[in-house]
Amino acid sequence: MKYALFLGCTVPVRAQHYELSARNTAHALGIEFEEMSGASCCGFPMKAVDAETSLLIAARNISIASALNLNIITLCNSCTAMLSDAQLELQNNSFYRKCKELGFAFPHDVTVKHYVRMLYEDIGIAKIKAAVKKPLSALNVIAHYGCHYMRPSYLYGFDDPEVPHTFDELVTATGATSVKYPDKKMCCGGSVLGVDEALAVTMANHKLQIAKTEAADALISICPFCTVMYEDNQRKAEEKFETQYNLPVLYYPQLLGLSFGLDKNAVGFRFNRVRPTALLAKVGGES
Amino acid sequence: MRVLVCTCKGKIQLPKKDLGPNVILEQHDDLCKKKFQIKPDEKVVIAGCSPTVMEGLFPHATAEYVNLHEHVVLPGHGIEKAWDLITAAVAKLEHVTPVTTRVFPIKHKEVIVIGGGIAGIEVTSQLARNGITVTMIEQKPFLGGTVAQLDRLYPEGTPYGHTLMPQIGNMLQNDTSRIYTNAEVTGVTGTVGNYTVSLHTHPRGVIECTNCGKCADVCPVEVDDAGKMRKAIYYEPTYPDIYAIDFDTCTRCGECVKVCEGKISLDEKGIDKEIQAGAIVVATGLAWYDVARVEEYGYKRLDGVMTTLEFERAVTSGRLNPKKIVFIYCAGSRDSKHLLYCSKICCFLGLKEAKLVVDRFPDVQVYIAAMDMRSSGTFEYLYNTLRERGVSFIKGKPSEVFQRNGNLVVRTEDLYTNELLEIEADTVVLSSGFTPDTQTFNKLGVRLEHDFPILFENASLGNMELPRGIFTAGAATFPAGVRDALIDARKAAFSVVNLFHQDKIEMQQPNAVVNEDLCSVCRMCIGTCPYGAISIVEDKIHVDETLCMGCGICAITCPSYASQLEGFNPAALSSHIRALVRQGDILALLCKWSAYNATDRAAYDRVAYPQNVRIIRVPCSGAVDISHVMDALQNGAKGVLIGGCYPNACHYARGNFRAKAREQILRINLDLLGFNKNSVRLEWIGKDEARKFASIVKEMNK
Amino acid sequence: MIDLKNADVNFKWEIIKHEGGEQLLKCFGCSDCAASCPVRYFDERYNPRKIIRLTLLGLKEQVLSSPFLWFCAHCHACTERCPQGIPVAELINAIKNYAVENGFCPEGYKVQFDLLKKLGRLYEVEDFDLKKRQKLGLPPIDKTIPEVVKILEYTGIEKVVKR
Repeated sequence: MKYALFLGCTVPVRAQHYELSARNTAHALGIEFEEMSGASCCGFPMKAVDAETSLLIAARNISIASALNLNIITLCNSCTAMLSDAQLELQNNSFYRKCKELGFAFPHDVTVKHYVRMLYEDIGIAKIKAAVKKPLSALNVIAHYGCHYMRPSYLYGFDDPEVPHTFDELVTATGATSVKYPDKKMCCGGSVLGVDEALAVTMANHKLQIAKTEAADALISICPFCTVMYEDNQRKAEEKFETQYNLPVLYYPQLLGLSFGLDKNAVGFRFNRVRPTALLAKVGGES
Repeated sequence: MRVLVCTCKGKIQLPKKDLGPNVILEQHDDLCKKKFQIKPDEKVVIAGCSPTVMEGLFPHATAEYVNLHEHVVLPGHGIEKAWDLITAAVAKLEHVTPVTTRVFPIKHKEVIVIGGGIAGIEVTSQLARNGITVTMIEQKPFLGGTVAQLDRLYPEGTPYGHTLMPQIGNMLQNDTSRIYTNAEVTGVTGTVGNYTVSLHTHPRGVIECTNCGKCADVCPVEVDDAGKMRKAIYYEPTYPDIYAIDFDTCTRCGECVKVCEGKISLDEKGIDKEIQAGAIVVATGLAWYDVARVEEYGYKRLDGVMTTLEFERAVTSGRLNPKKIVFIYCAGSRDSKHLLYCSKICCFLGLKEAKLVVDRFPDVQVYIAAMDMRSSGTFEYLYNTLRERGVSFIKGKPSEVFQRNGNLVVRTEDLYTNELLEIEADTVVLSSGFTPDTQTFNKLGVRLEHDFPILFENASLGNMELPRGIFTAGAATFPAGVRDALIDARKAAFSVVNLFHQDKIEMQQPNAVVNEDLCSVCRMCIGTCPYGAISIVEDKIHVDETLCMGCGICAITCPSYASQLEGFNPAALSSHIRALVRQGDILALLCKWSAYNATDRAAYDRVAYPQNVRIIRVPCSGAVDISHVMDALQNGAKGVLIGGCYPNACHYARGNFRAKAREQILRINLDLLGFNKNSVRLEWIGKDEARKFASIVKEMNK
Repeated sequence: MIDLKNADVNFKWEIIKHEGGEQLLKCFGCSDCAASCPVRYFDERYNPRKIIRLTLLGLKEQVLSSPFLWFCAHCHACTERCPQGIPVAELINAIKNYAVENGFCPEGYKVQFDLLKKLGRLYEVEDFDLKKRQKLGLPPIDKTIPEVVKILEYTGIEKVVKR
């Protein structure tokens, strides 16, 4: 199975451990990635300024994969939403004409999927379970979907926007327990960070607090934005709410790689800001 | 062809002129007061008062009406206009396809009533009282429908038996009704007066019964029947007085067979039957919307979330003893993902349930979260009562229901305070809407619009005029309470009695007819018909005579002129226009339901308009073709006005939208052919908008 | 008090012309969006229902100049629940777009615009990053993507942002 890997802005520069673990776990599952040379930002940052500009930037990225005749895999929830939105918009004649005017070609129809959705739909739980060598049954983790994984449902038509379950199933496939908790669909606050930091931190704190109450070993994220909120801003939340979390935030491929028994360097635990030392000790690994 | 001209109290004196061979001109005083012998296939021009009046007095189908009174005498236009109008009418009639008289014999004066709920029972009762034989087909093992499932009826909490049991008793006192329970309609053929309905009766399992109830005592299967517990073999105190097995849950363990004093058979077979009838009444009632689809409210996912029906049955059967309840209104109603419409009765139902629970448990805390409370009519008193009883009303649509510390939590915004609220409760009741019984309607070929029968939508048109033997009654037509369902049922019974007073129906309404030699079966007419009257039968276009309303839209849409409306075919309209329109005239093609009436109004209100405005009455603004506009322009017309009903108010549902859709293409074509593309105007003119009409034609005349 | 003398009746018609704003007029004010909104849950200064109502009333100045308009996290919780099928997050975004056109572009977006114009991405890729990637065995990435400038020029968005 071969896909075009769309990295976006944050992942290749600020979250290499996500990229690294995603590539290596995919490799272990027999998935190949082709690089999207010339791919830019997905366009999402310009959406609030001018929706059309953002859609055109996204459409250009799609045209790169279209030339390769490969379906796109994304690592970031917002990139997934933006590219999917452009994909839908391309059915609109006037938008398509604008793309043509800008010289974008779409020789092949391609789809856009988040890495996790690809694992769920194209690989399947059974195959993933079969690849697990070290079941992480000692772990209780909080699965955080992030907003744009299944919403808006009119873009994706995937999973259940009200009662999502696919990511929980994937987390459970590693042997870990995916804790049932309230407000599962709560937003991390990432989009508000640039507007009102205090509010963003308050939003992130909500789930950090839940993780603490549930005594979770880690929060599992599938979006670099969400990780910025839960990991990079964890200290700020601790200060603001005068508490201690020390909650490791792992990317799902890291968790998956761990259960596959991949080398610790192959999943990049040393890049996690909150060191998952205790978690690794629990499953008999080392950081 | 005869031309009957009224002298209009001496104001119209036509010179003797030849109107052509075989055309006889007769002048009469007070035309409207005379009776004329007109043969069914005779073409006749009736020139006198407005057709709106004359049509009622001379209901002859193949007639062309010339409006001498309102278009010549009252506006003070010259006598030459009268002559022009008559000549043009003659020219039109020469090319008109005559309207044929269709006869439908009422072969079987028997009725089939589908549905044994309160409406079906009432229809049967009323018909049986009139000596009409009725066959009732009920899907469930017992009669009573939704009403039988309820504990009390709103608004005051009358026990259902006060209404339902006397109804059933009334019905059974007449021996002209046959009742099939556990039965469903599998197919219908035929037309008014002569339907054949095939039905399948599912096995009941209990063949002979003494009502001892031992079978239910030993039955090991407990079933939650919408909030109330029963066994797989059970009894409802309505009709018939025999136990029945619910084979969906029965495990066929055979325990009941062992103790039965009568006769139980677990391998009884279903029976197929065919019944003939002259009319069918659909009284299939209410179906509850599957509120589990409104996922955010957690029905079937969270314990303690239930429907209004389950709540009522659970509370009244003593299964539920709630302390704190939240009612969520419009659960899945007025919602683009669920039911777009308001089911009209759920607000009342929720109020009733609230009263039911505060009556029983004085300490209970009740919250009703509703985006809008629609307590129309006397239900406002119930709303007042409940506020006085301490029920809290919250305005806003709750966003979700979730569990916290073993309690249910409803999260909503309260629009009165503008605050976000969370209410913890042990019970959440979802007041959902109701869905139409599209399955039965589809089997019967009943045309639906917004999911409900179009007959209901167009009730103001008087569907009783249609030679159609299918009637709807009660909540099948639209969700309704018991009172409205009963009124509706009596109306349906009345319609059937009316129908059966005749031995045959004669219909002279203009119908669309298809010339098979010209028809290429391109199917354009199928999509364009507002009534779904056109379909394909054996690879040919077929017009259902009982559904066609005679709008003429198909005739205009047909690219090969194969479809023709009797009394109004494109060729006839063409010759009408060519005979009427001269150099410098304005042609006004006006819909007979609105814009044409505005010209009559102009006459009564003395609103003047130029004499060179040539008015032609058309069935619908959607029944005007590009070629007709061209005819007028080629004759030298200055402009053409097409007048129709306002949007969404078309007599033929969508005809004016057809006209609007055609307008743009029309302009493009006119431009290509070298005509001024702005010489055509499409306007919405209401029946009393004489001034609007006059100002438009004056503007065009400049 | 809201004085409707100052209302701009064309405001709503302007919004429905914008990408995502097409369904504005369907709103019947049930407030499911506000009850679903995670931002509103933590900070009542932001309320999508209120923004939509003010828009429908034509209170252009009040809507466009409000700093809270930019609080929408675009999480689409509202979109999923709106009974009228309005993609509420997209609608709020359309109002944001209109605000930018009218000279209300927050500074943060101007910075992001400059970065995209200069780099085609949000973060500068330093040699250090490339080296780090190489060490980890990750493939090299483009430092800048100049083609993005073409798109920005095509839509002429710079003029609008810098108003």
